[in-house]
Amino acid sequence: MTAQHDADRLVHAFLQEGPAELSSPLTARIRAEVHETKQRTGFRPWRKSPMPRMLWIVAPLAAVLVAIGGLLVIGSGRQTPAPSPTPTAVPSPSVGAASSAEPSAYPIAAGEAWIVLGGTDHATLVRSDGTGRHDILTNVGVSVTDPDWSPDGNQLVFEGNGTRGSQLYVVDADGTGLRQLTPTPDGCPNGVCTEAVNPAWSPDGRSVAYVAPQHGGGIFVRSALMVIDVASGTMTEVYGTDQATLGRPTWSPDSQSIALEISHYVGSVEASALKDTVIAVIDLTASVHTPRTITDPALQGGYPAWHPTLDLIVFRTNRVDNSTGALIDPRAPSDLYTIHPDGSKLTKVTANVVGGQIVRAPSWTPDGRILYTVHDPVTAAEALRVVDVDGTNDASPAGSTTLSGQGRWRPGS
Amino acid sequence: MDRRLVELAQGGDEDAFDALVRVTGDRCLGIAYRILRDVDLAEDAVQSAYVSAWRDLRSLRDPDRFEPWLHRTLARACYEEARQSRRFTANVRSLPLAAMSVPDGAIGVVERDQLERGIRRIPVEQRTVLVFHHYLGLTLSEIADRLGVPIGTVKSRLFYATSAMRAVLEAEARPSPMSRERPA
Repeated sequence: MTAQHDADRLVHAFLQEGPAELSSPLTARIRAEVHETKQRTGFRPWRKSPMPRMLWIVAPLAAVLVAIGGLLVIGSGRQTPAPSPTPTAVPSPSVGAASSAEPSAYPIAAGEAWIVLGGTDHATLVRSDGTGRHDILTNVGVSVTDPDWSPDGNQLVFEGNGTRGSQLYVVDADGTGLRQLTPTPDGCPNGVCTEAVNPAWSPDGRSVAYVAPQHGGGIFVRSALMVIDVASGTMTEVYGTDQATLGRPTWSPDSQSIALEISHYVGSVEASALKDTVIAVIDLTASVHTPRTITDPALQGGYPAWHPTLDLIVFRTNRVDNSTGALIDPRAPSDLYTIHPDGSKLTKVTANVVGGQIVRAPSWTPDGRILYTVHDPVTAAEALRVVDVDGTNDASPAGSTTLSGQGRWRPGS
Repeated sequence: MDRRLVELAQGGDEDAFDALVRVTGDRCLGIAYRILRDVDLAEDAVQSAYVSAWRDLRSLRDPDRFEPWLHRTLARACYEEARQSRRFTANVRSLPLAAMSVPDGAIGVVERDQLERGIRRIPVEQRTVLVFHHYLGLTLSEIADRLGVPIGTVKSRLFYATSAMRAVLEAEARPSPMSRERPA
């Protein structure tokens, strides 16, 4: 503990060192470039912009014409097609401002095996053989976290951190067609801000499950498991609690159940140390959506991922308690396990040692192997690995190429 | 922060924005340098951040929040600079000590070298949280608010960054196998 304290003190002192002032040449360069740069028109979605005067005349006229047209169509016995709902609930102000130019498409051939890696300000796509590496979603005004494939492998849903917190976005796999899925709330009603994180696309393609954390002034208020209908944008709360934090939902192959991690704290939620983290399953067909815990709290299980076709969930144990900066159980290793959704047949996949590498973010490849990330606590290096469900054939998914970050393998490839 | 200056700049007043640069610039350069560990990259990031801030200033809802908003813009500029630049681990230009703010006797030369090597191994987003926490003295909630990311993400990044820095110092402090006493 003393050694850690000394190290932290040194790090703190080290980070006080740096340049003392902005140089005059830099100030002059900034001034010159600012002079050449035009300010964007303000985009303030929380303010209703007044309707231009001309529209006061044109809009009612257009409405009358549309009504007459509609009557004519009905009179002719033909049905007016219903407007097709779009997944675009509300355009993001930051995305709208930053993506004025549509990015060029990078073709993703049908059936081709790709892995998506979440980056800080972009997502990276790379073929499973390590070729074709390229970034998408650069300069879109939001950072990119937890990308997840649509079941047809043609789109990605991800958590975008923008100027108003995190919301979910959908983009075509070739990097085009970015649109916001969950709407940005109009401010923080009653001082409570709601975000959308950890998206998971349902196997039937209709819905995206996610977690909606609520905070007021940076203090935890509530955590809810939500499902949004991709076509209509209708959001439904599946389960909510102010006694724990929820995370990492994952769908059963029939889209009828969701597994997720639930974290409990020794005192105030998020403000005190973690007590335990468990995996629980919620049956969406039940009248009451009560989470059914399937892992022993002592395991500290988290980050579940449901097999694409089987009743099998992979998860990692012994998560990090970020408030203390250590694994929850320093006497236990960090490993991958599988378990059946009824809590039976707990099976260890990896065999790490105490103090050894930390595993996280497991997911499944379409052929039933486990893709996961290892973190070396000494070098801080991260690497993406793939391993058979029985723990054999552990390797880099891209052969001799090392990939880092959290990956998701494209379905159907 | 002078709210009036921000409002004037939002109205297109370049002199007002210049005044804002003078008020906030030293701190911004300090942040960028500590994240990027290179003066050239830091200056590029600061310049990019201020130009972006000027361009998007009218989207700033609350003028009193100018500096936190600017720091978020700066963090993104640092990410971009680190991502694009191939100079990140090479051709590093260090500032002469005279131009640096160095607390007297706080840290030894050897330890500074260890820490410098350690921090360069950390991903830039983790480094950013480390800098916001130690240099700006922000709480986890404040960092989450300033960076626009969930608090869990901030906690995670801070954990990994802190662990890596501790590991570097502990590894260097550990005696080499050759010097260890053979057990009886």
